[in-house]
This record gives sequence, C-alpha cells and structure tokens, in this order.
Amino acid sequence: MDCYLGIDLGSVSTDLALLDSDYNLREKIYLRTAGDPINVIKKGISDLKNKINSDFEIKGIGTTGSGRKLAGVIVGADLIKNEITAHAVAAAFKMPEVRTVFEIGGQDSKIIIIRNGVAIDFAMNTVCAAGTGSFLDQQASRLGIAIEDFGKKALKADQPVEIAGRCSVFAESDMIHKQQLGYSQENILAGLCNALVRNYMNNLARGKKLAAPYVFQGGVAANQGIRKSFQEEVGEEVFVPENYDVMGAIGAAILAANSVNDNNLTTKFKGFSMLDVDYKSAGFNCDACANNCEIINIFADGDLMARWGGKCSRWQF
Amino acid sequence: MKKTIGFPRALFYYDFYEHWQAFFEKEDFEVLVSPPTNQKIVNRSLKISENELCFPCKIYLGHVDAIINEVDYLFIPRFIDFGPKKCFCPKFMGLPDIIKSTFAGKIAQNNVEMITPTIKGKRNIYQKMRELKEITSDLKMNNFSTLKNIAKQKNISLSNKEITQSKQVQKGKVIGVIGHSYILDDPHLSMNLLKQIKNKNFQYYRPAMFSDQIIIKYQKLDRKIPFWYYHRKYFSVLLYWLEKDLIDGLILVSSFGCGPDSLVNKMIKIEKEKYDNVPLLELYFDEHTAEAGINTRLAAFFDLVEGGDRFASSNISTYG
Amino acid sequence: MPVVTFPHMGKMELPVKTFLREMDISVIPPPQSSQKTLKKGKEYAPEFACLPFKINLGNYMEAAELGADSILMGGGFGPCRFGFYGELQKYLLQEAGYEMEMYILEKNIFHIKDIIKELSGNFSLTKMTRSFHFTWSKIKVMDKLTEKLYNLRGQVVNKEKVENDYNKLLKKLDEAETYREIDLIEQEIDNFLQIDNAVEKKLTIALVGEIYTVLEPFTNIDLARKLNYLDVSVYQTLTLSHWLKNFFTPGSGQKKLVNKAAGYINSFVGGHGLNSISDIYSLKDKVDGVVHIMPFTCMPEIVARAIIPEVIENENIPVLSLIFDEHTAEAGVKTRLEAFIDLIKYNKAR
Repeated sequence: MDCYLGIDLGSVSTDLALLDSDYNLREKIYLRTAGDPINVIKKGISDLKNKINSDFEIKGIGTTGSGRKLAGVIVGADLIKNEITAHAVAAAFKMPEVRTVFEIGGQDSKIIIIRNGVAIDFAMNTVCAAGTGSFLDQQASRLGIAIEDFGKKALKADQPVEIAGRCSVFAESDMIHKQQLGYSQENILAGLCNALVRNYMNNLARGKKLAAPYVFQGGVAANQGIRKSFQEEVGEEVFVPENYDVMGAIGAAILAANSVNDNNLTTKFKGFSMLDVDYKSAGFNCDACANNCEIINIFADGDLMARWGGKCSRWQF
Repeated sequence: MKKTIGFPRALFYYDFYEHWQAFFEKEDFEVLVSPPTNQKIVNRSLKISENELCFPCKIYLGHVDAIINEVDYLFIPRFIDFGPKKCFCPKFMGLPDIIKSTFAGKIAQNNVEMITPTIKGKRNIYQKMRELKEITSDLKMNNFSTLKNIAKQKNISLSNKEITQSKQVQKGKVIGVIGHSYILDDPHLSMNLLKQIKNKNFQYYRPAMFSDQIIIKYQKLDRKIPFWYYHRKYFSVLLYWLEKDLIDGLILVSSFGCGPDSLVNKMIKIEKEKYDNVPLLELYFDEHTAEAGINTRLAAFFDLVEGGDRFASSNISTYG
Repeated sequence: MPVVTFPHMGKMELPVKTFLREMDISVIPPPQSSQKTLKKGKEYAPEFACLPFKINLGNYMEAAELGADSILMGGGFGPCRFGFYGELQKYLLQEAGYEMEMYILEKNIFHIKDIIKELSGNFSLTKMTRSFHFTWSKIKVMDKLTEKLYNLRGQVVNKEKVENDYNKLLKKLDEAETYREIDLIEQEIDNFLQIDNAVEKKLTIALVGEIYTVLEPFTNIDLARKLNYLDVSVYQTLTLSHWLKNFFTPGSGQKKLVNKAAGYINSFVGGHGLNSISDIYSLKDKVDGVVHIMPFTCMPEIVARAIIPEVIENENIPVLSLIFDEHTAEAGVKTRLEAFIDLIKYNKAR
C-alpha cells in the first residue's frame, strides 16, 4: 500500500504521521525531542518500522517544524515545509470549511486565518512563553499536578480567578499570590487557562479577522480547559480535530504527497537503511568576518552530507 | 434634541478637557465623557488595541469603546505640535487614524462622525476652536469671545501656580513627580500615587503646576533639549527644581513602551546625578504593574526622603 | 586634526567616506555592525531605546577603538526619537569613558557648513558644494545598483553571480574618482547580467517600514537577500537618496503621500509611518505582497501597524509585519517569510 510520511521536528516534541493514499492517518508517533534531534528522528523511524508491516511502501516524505531542514537531509525528504503552512494545510484538509486555526504547541503558538481552504493571514509567537505549552507545563509542576489532569480539573472550576499579566513571569508571580490567598486549585487552573488564552489573543489575534468555524490544534489542544476558554473568548464552538497533536506532521505528509504525485516523482526517502547510518552534527563559528556565523556540518558515517548557517557563500556545500 | 459629543477620558483629556467642555457646552452639545478607568476598560483595551501601542494609548482605545455606541460625534483632535520644537509623539499625531481603523465597524454601524481638528503651530488651542466651525456645520460659534475669556482665565490661573519659593519655606519635604498627566491623574493607572504621597504628609510638585514659560529659560542653553512638548517642559522643570533646590526627592513615572520617556528619562537621570542628595525612584505603570510592588518601593523611597542626608545617594531598584 | 567617524546605515559608508575624503577630512568608519557592536551599545543605552540607537552607540565605540575621536551624526526635531539620538549618545559616551566630540548635523546648510569647516583641514565653500555634488551622483548610482540587485537576484537561478557582479561594481563605485568613472558604472548596471536562467514563477514583494531597519541588513537579518533566495524580487521605495532628501527638506512630499494613502492615514506621524501605509495602498496592484518591518518600540511604525489590519481587510493585499530587536531569531523570521510566500502563491493559484 502506498503511503506518505510527515515528520514534525520541533524543539520540544517530534511527531510522525503516516497517511495512506486517501490521506487517512495510519500511524502516529509522538516523541520528546529532548535536545537530541538526530537520534529522535532515528527513534521515530525505527518505531515506525516496527509498527508497520512490509506491504506499506513510503512513496513520499515531508518534514516540517523548526528542525525541518535537519530532518529533511537525514531522512531524504521530498519536501521541506515551514510549520505554519503545514498546519494550515492539515486543518483545511480535516475541515475544509475552517476559517480560523488556533495552534498551540510546546514551544510556540500560531494563529492562521483561512478562507476557501487557503491561508490568507497568520501570526506566530516564538518569543513569549506565556502563550505556549511550556508555560502550562511549568505551572502544572509548580502546582504539583500532572499536565494530563490540568484540563479536567480546570473544567471543574466554579469561579476562575483573574490572573494578570501577559508575560509568564508576571503571570507566575500573580498566580503564587492568588494561591496564597487560598483560592481552590480548580479555580486557579481555570484562571491560568483564561490567562493563556487572553495572552494568546492579545499577542496573535489582534487585527485578525476571526470567523467560525474555529479549529484548535497542537499539543495543548489536549487541555479541555484551554478549549473552554477559547470558546468563551470567541463565543462559538471550537473544534479539536481527532489527531490534533500531529497536525503539523499530517500537513507535511499531505504536501509531500501532492508534490510527488503532481510532478510524477519518485521519493528521495533513504529507506529504513538510514537507521544503520551514523549521523553527526558539528558546529563552529566562522571568524572570517564580524558576523561570526555559526556553521553547522552534518556528517553521515563520517562524510560531510550537508552544511548550513553561513550568511555568505564561503561555506556553501 | 441635543447632539452628543463623546470625549474619551484618557491622554490629552487630563490637560485640555475643561476648555473643550466649556466650548462644546456653549455650542449646545451634550458632552459625554467615558467613565473613569476601571478594570473592565483595561481588559477591553488590551483586547482591541495593537499590541505594540503604549499602555496609555491602549487605555484611550478602551475609553473610546466605552462610549462609541452612545454618541453622535467622537472628538479626537490630532495633536501635531505647539510650534517648533514642541511636537507631540507620533501616536498623538496618528490617533484619529488609529481610532478610525480600530473602530471602522462600529463607526459605520452607529453612524458616528469623528471630529478631528489638527492642533499645529503657535496658534493656541482656543483659536483652534474657531476653525472647528468649518469641520462640522453643527457648530454655531456664538460665544467665541466669552469662550476665549474662559480660556484666558484658565491659562492665567495655571501660571499663578508657579512656585518660586525655595523649599525651606515649604512645610515638610517636597517630592518632585515627573510624569504624564494621563498617568498621574488617572488613579487607576497610577494606583493613587499622588494621593499616597499626600497621605504621607509630603508635598509634591509636578510639571503641570508650572507655566510653559519655564521652557523659554532653558531653551537658550547651549545644548539640545527635548523637542516633544511634554518632555521639553518636564526637562526644563526638572532643571529648575534642581537649580533652585526645590525638591527633596524625585519620582519618575513612565509607562512601558513610551518612546520619548525611554530617552528623556535617561537624560533626566544624568542631570539628577549631579545632585546626589536627591533620591530617585522610577516607577513604570502598565497592565503588569502589581500594586504590592509599587507600595513596597514607595515606602522605601519615603524613608529615604525622610531620612534626609543619611541615606542620601542610594536609589531604589525599579524592578522586583 | 580630528579623525571622524559616523554611524552605519546600510551602505551609507560609501558616500560618507567619499564626501569626507573630498573635503580632506580624515575618516575612520566603524567596523561593520555585528552582534558585538550591538552588545557594546546595549550596555550603555537605555533599555527601551530603539534598536538603531543601540547599534549607533556600539558603532562609535568600535570606531573609537580604531582611533576615531569625532562623530558626525544626523539631528532633527521629532517626533521620531532619531532627532534626540546624538544629544543623548554624547552623554552616554562620556558615561562609558569615551572622549569623543559629537557633531550633530541639523537641517540647516549654514550650520552644516560651520561643522565641516571646523573638521576640514582645507575648507572652501566651492569645494564643499563640488564634493557634495560628486557624492550625490555616487549615491544615485548606488541606489540604482541596489535596486537592480534586489530585483534581479529574485529572478535568476544563479544568485551568486548577481551578487559577485554587484560587489564588483560597488567596489568600483567606492573607488571612483571622476564623474566619468561613475557614468561608466551606471552604464554597466544597465547591461549587468541579462536574465539568462530565470526562475519559474516570478513574485515581487515590497519592503516597507522604518528606514534604518529597511536599509540595514544587520538589523533586518538580510531580509532582501533571504527573499531573493526564495525566488522573490524585492521592491522598496525607501533608499538612501530618499532619506537624504527628506533630511534636508523635511516634510516634502507629505501631501502626496497622504493622498496616496486613501484616507487610511491623514497626517505625517514622524519617521516613515505615513510612507508605510501609503506604499502598501498604492503598491497593492503592483506587487504580490508587502513585508512591513520596524524595530521594537518604533513609534511611527506602531501607528502604521495599528492601521495595517484595516488596509488588509479592505484591500485584499497580503501584508506581513515583522518587529526586530536584539532577541530576533533568524529561524523565526525565515519560517514566517516562507509561510508568507506560500500564502501568496496559494492565493495566486486559486
């Protein structure tokens, strides 16, 4: 059976999604990147190999996420695409009538405005942690609860507390203050959900033409409390797609499939034999000029296979 | 029926409202001022405003939002300058355009007309009122001379407040407070700063107590002084206070994202360094400001001012 | 004899050097702006000063280490903060322990003459007029050259070749000593590189916003080059000659800009905030999209930014607004640019 693989290599998590030729999801794999992108890709491919039987044939492969380029050279991608486009494509495929996409992942958050299946505007926040999953992780651990229980508990709130501040530092100090005042954990959690959504809206949605239907995806969409806050904020239902946590990878797979099929190409996928190759990356700072570019070399079994990072052509590979 | 003209309670409201109110009432308008800043307005402000605007500007948008459904006219003058080297900041210059873009839907829906006179040049704000006639035919301009008199009297009463006595004559210690009226006079924004100073039995001076004439004295200096109207005055007033030994402590009030403050406050601090017996406190007010933090720093600052020369040169950290 | 330096802004080094040399003023340009420059400037600049302020300050310090003792800096009287840069920087340099003389050029030709006279070992008014003329002709050719580069590099497959040709011509222009040489270079631009190997689909994006950020590749992380390498031609109305014209005749052309802005903005708001909106509106049918850039806390461009959503809504032109500061990461900018170009392409294909 022909299938297409999408890999979303982020700094916090790495997701793989395997689609069949009708773009149905056949397998998904979710891994922590844990600062080791090369090995996490190999782990993902190896897990996939163990999950699928031999009549699955990978006909196309796409990579996305902040590590898309690295992932692309290691697996031999047919298409390397930024995560904004990948998320937009996946959302529009799952819900063709979608007009607004909220995406909150572990390391960043995005808003994408879609009309007639095509993105017309977007914004992405990479600077401020207050609008991302890591903020929720931090606060959950501070409150001593599992991140999985965060949403469920928040839904039980009867009177969410007001937590001030768009910045995680300010929000955290205000949360501690509220905790000391004796508010219930549920109400504090719901307050954090509201604060995150408010921050998200202030940072990303200002000036954007929000319109239903709304889709909420990314790892944080697991949190029912956040979904509820979004619904209250926009006054409409907010849909969470079934595979909300691997939408970037799904989008990359769809884009790769389109690219391969439209142009009648055979995939550049290196096959599972890549698992036996020893990949290494090594960086150095070029001192030829004041830019001091950080040049990254990628080696496969000791041979240089890719290089990037230079502002000029000096280190072009 | 009287037509209603909306006047948002923010930014230049605090410096110029009384004159305009007298004017519009003479013209038989109902003037609707938005309510004093409250948390609801703040939350609304943050939601509708461009994220990079300074906090007071966002608040202005919140005040517009609070009244836009109830008015026939919105009064949003465009402040360019009060003559050469007395300009306003870009956000004052573009305010009518920002409002028009932000509220395009509501303006069309409620059929609100915007009155946006341009304040530019040496002609004073009262002369400007005469020109308003051309902007909306509803203005009749019956009593212009009476109005001019009101304005004149107000101006005089302002300059009468000029303080020339040295601080020894004053009872108690005097704290100089430099900051925009739209922060200092908005108790919600400034967390009652001025009242807190009074409650501690301190006197305070602020630039609004001094006439604009003070600028003339310092613009002759052989240096470039700030060219924004407000900051030109603040800087001149500061030099005056320091020179005449009028203050026992200095509070610099600012909001995050205020462009001119970011440079001029540094210049003010450089000048103040020459007088190390004057303790300094810098306070930032915006949506993140926690009242507890402000109060702690204020209390410590008051101790410094009280303590006189004993703790003289130490300053209090702005953060934390 | 004073040794003069100046802050960088894009390729301004070339004409400034030309002019000062012609006037027999010894000049040491600061090293190319880098992270090191910014780090130095940041240490003494107020935290919320704009990014150009901090880089300028670093430029002076790095030039001082090479032996410069005097600074030529532009002035002005607002409302943009730029007009106050020089005055405050003077005090900050003192604070940092640098002994440098600051000369702030105000928009007054007599005042400028006095400063140049003080600095020059060999001054005459005729010489100044002549030098200025000569420099101006270089600036015009330089702007033309850069315009060509930004347009061409987005359309060809072999981008390095265009870059090499550009660099060669720029070097020639820098060394040119006669009008004749400048003319020859100008002729060369016209036939410099024919498009022999064009990319499949040509896109054009206009780059608008705060002028220092637009002109200075260090600040905008080489945005024009990045777009060109994504096979996009770049068009910009802001050039060095434009900046200089504006500096000497402030307010000129404002009425025209207001007219072109079609009611979205009705006044000059300092800097190039009016230009940004006016350009977006008037270029909407001529380009495929607009990238609007500004340094963090830039007042005039914040006004523009508050108006842009309304322009996008009504005029159906894609606009990407980016803010640059010392924390801006290259990867994030790249991701946004790529997504923006996808957006334009998909919308075009529809």
